[in-house]
Amino acid sequence: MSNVEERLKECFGTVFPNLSADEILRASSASVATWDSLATVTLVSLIEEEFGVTIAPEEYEYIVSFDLVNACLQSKTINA
Amino acid sequence: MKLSEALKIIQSQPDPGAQKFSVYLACGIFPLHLTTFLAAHLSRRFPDRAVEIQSGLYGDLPGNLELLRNSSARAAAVVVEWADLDPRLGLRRLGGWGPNTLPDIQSGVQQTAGRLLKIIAAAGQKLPVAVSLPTIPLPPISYQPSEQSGLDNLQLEKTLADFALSAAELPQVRIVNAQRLAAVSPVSERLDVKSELSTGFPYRTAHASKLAELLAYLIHPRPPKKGLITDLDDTLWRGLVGEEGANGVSWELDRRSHIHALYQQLLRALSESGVLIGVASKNDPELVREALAREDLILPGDSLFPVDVNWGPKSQSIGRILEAWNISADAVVFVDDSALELAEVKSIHPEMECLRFSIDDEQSAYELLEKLRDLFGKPAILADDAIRVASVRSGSQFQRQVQTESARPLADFLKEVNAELTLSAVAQGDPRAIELVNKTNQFNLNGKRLDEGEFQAALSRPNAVSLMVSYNDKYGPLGKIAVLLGQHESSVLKIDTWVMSCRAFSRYIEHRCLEYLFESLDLAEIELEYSATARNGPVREFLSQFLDTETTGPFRIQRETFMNRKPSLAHKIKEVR
Repeated sequence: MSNVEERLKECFGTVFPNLSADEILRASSASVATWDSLATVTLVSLIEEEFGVTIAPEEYEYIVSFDLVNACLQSKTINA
Repeated sequence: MKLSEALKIIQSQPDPGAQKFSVYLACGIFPLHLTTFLAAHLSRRFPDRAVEIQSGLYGDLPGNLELLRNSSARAAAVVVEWADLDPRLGLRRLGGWGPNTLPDIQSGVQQTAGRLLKIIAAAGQKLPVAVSLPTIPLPPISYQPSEQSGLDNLQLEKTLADFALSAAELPQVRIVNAQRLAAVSPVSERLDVKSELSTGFPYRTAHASKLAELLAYLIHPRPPKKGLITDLDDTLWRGLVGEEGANGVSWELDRRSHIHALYQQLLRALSESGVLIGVASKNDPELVREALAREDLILPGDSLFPVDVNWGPKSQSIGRILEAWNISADAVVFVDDSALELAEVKSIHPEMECLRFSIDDEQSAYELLEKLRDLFGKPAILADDAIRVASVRSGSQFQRQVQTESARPLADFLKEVNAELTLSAVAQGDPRAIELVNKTNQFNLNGKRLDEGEFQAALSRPNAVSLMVSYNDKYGPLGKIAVLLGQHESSVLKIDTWVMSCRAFSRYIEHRCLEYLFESLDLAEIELEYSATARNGPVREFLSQFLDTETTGPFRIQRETFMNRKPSLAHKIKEVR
């Protein structure tokens, strides 16, 4: 598991403290009841704080599952 | 504090069964992370409480403030931004920034500021209110270059300053210090345009954290330190009095020792606001007496008490000063130029804040002055602050006299010195009463602290009884020295808060208070909600005179037991209704 993924799991764990490590890997806005718009904004702020990246509002469409966020973040950190 | 840290603090709050502390956050912005940071900073200040933040609707600050009336909150944080004063000063509404629009914006800001002031005044009657004024800079409304302060901007800032001045004069209303906020959160690093436009939350997370930290401090200020013990040579003045003589030491610009004059000036100001100032110095007492008698001393020599000068370890001098003041080491700051002396004192009094006066670095000495101001900062100066030094001095004289005449009954002595208690009900919002409850450690029935909202609730509950006690004798007034709160049910009084300043010990004041309550309320029994704390031994010692078998509170004292065992009491009582 990459370092980025580990740190991303930490961010998810902070926003969704009731999810186990396995559940975080499978997490999506459809499967997690507490994943509402407020959780999305909080998650974005945490990711920006943790990785020093900016997530533009048009990229919010990717903030719907752990996998998609991870992919979005991998591309940002690779391109940085 | 980072956002991730704030979220973790909130998640590790005490279980939901813990006593709640609700704060109403009134703002027009979408509060998002400000709520998180405010909850986190308050949780740090109230580690045993379950902090809850209530908030209202987006974009309606006056309406949200109105909702405070029916809120169960114990305190309020009011966050005002320019957009709340006129929507055209925000980024999410349009309405024109042209020169012809500006007079209308001015008028809108004035009207809204007036309305907010009225609502905040009403809120301040009910609970403490912390207010932050606009922290986001004005948008580019001015047609003048940014280097120039335009008339329109100045007029808006004047309206805001007038609003702040009026609000700061209101009881229980405290304004966030803009200068302090600027020092920890630079103005250019506050606005997050992306966040404002996408969510309605205009702050960068670092700014939200700093603003929340200041608001949390105003909602629950840390207790100010009570006393400062200073060294003399190369601290209160430049030079060694033992080598240069009383007239050789200096504190003036021409001799490059002006920083010591500033230090003296600060100590004088602290003394005038009720801080005890003592001296611990390794020196020749006669030379020090001579130096402290110099007329050009900025800090009057008689404001220093005690002055403990000898060649012994400073920790011992400090031990004697603490005894004379009768306060604990954690309420005191020690200032010295020697790192070695500071370390010696810290090793014996680990709770004491020990700070170095750097004679080789004026910048750092000046920063020490700022830090001292902060450590002794308090919301207001009370009448009792003005008499504190005199009362500690007279208290010391009183104790010496009692020890000299130890063979005589204390009651005779109290009669001879015209001991008098002035008793009244506690007035709503009396800052001295709240200060006593939240600062007193030794004679404190159970260590319970009450914020302003809780204090008011205690005074307003059914069958509430309250007593504010002031003391005076021929050595001078001690001021307001004790507070008692309870509830009266038939012939029983249940006391749940009782504190008395340590300056008032050994005068049978606590005995006289209970005697007064038994008689004036015609009580058969007084129940005291006692809990042991690390420091309230004096209460336990007092109560044990009237208890037989009980080992844990609450304690019940029967009238007959009290009257049979109490000492003879000779204080005059003056009731003020």
